[in-house]
Amino acid sequence: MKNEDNSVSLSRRDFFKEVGMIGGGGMLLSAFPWLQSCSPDDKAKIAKEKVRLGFIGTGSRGQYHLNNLKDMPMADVVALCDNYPPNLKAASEIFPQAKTYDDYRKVLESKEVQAVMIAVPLYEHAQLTIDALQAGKQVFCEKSMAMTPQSCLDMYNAFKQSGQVLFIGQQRLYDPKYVRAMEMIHSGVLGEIGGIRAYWFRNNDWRRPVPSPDLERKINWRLYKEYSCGLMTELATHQLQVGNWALKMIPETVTGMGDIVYWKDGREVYDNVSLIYRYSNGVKMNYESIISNKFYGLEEEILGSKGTMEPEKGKYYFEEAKPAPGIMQMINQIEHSIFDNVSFAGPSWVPETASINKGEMIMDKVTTISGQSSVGAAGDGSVELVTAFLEAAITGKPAPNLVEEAYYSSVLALLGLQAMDEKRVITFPDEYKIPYLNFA
Amino acid sequence: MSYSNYYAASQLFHGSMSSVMGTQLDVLMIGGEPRLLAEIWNEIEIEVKRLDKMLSRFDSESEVSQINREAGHFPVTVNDELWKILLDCRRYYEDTEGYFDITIQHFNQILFNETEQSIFFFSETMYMDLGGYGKGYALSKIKEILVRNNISKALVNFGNSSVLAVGSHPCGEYWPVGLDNPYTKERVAELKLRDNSLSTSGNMPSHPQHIVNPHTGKYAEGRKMVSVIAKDSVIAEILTTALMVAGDEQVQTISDKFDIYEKHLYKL
Repeated sequence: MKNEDNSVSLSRRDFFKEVGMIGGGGMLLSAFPWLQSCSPDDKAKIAKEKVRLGFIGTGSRGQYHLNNLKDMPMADVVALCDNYPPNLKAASEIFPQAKTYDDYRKVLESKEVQAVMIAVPLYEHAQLTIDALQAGKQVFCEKSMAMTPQSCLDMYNAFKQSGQVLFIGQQRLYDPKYVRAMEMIHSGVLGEIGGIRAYWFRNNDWRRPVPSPDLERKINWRLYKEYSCGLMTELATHQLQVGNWALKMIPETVTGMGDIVYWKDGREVYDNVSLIYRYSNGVKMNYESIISNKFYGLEEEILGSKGTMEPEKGKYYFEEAKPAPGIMQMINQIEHSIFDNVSFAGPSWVPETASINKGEMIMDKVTTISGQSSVGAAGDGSVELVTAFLEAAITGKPAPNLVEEAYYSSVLALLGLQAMDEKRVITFPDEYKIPYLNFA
Repeated sequence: MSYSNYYAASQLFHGSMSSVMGTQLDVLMIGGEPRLLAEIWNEIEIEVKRLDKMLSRFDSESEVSQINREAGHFPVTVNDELWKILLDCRRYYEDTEGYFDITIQHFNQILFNETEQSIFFFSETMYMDLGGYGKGYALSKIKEILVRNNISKALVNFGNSSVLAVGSHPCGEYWPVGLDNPYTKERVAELKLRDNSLSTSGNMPSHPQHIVNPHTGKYAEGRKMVSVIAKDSVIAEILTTALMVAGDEQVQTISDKFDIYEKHLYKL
């Protein structure tokens, strides 16, 4: 079935306008430091500058980024690299003038390349990222960070030591509806958060066509433990990050069960996982991913004592009475010391009395994804994230907290996998704690 | 159903109550102890429920319902507060040249017995509907509660059509309230409220006609909207209802009899 991602285009300008309008410029951004890594002054200064970019890993996700980069004036893609010729050829068709390489080390040696974007299989993330940082490049690497907590930590340390820019592809951090949802949650609109239920369901075998059997492991690397950690690193990382973001905490323990239930086709990674992440205050994030039924799609249901947030759908629901239209906007403005007209006065208004709670939209214009595509969807924050990376690559200023958010979601995914593999409860190991949030 | 929340950063308390007087009540109060604000909100809730219970003609147990059932047959004695309200309505009936009429067309067929404090309807089919009065009255009672508790900044929204402003928005000299055209959603006015009330009456796409002209028995037609800002929330409330149905030539003479700050009439 055709993937029908609902893609209403949302330009970056719209993003800041929309988010800024709701939250009010500086006040809002101060709560999301990675969004203000590039000051308005810097933005004006670098508006006409370009980044000479090397792109390493030009498979499906890589080509998704390359197609977006075509429309970004700051991106000057000068090098393309992949060790699988058909993918390199496809990338070359997007950027015909870029030099092509089959060995990433040659890209890193190139003086011309200022920054690299890495979209290779998971098992190569750590090595390439660390090598690129050490070669003095500004780096964007796709999520998850790495195959093991130790490799994630090595990446983090290399980033810290380098003083350079590292971005990890956690695009929800730049998705307007998430930014707005988190702002609402943090301001207390939903009351106290008592639990999170996150899930990602698909109904497909997650396979790519293989031209010849000897390429099976190279093309379908996601299915084999040597290269991939399966659903945890490919899907769960995004959603574990959302849970931490909402609670401003990192969970302390995790347990879970994983199995191959439906796709018994020789794959090694689970196609069916259920986990419980427990935070120090007793709140749990339940995580589930199944790829033999897609009915419920994907969501992070954030359950508060006064309301529920469904950021993937861009909706929230009050437990009891919902405030009149306009009142929430007025509250938000007062919270941010904004003095502006809010339209709500008018002829008498009869609230809906239907017993079905249809919820409220987080913002007027919401872009949602079906979650069925394993490449990427329009309007999910990816464009904003990459734009922010390009800006940071020019200014040389890292985005505060972004790598920390990515680090913990990656490590938590891996600890979840370990808990399933070893059939036990895992406590977050002290040696993998970095100074951030409750582990600071 | 009721909801409340306290926003510590701005010391803002928000109380919300649905299914009251046919709509919803939202109260914003700024400044003060959250515990105290919650108590004030509780007091407001109890008061508004009490008034709804007294004034609603859709609640068979309300005093107004009792009057509607019985006053056509024999005089009904009325409690002090409701008596005062009905005398108020009589005065407003006169001052609006009959355009504000809680009986819709029959007000002069009510017999007020001052000594008995009772009322009697000359017609058995008569009834009274305080829908064009109740929210304004409720706002005046809410204002008393807020003032008694030293709340200096508050905004009370009763179903969008009745808004009470106490003091100002925390970041400005007044409460800025936009008024939208219900047909086009375009903003038609930006009103500055401070220690006064705004009432709006009008036809809407969902309710193209719902206000009856007591002189003709016909609904006010057309895309029309009236807003009044007054110190007294009851005056704002009853005047918008009257001006919705009054002829263009009566609008000024009626308005002149009331102490109001602003009036806006829109052909939408």
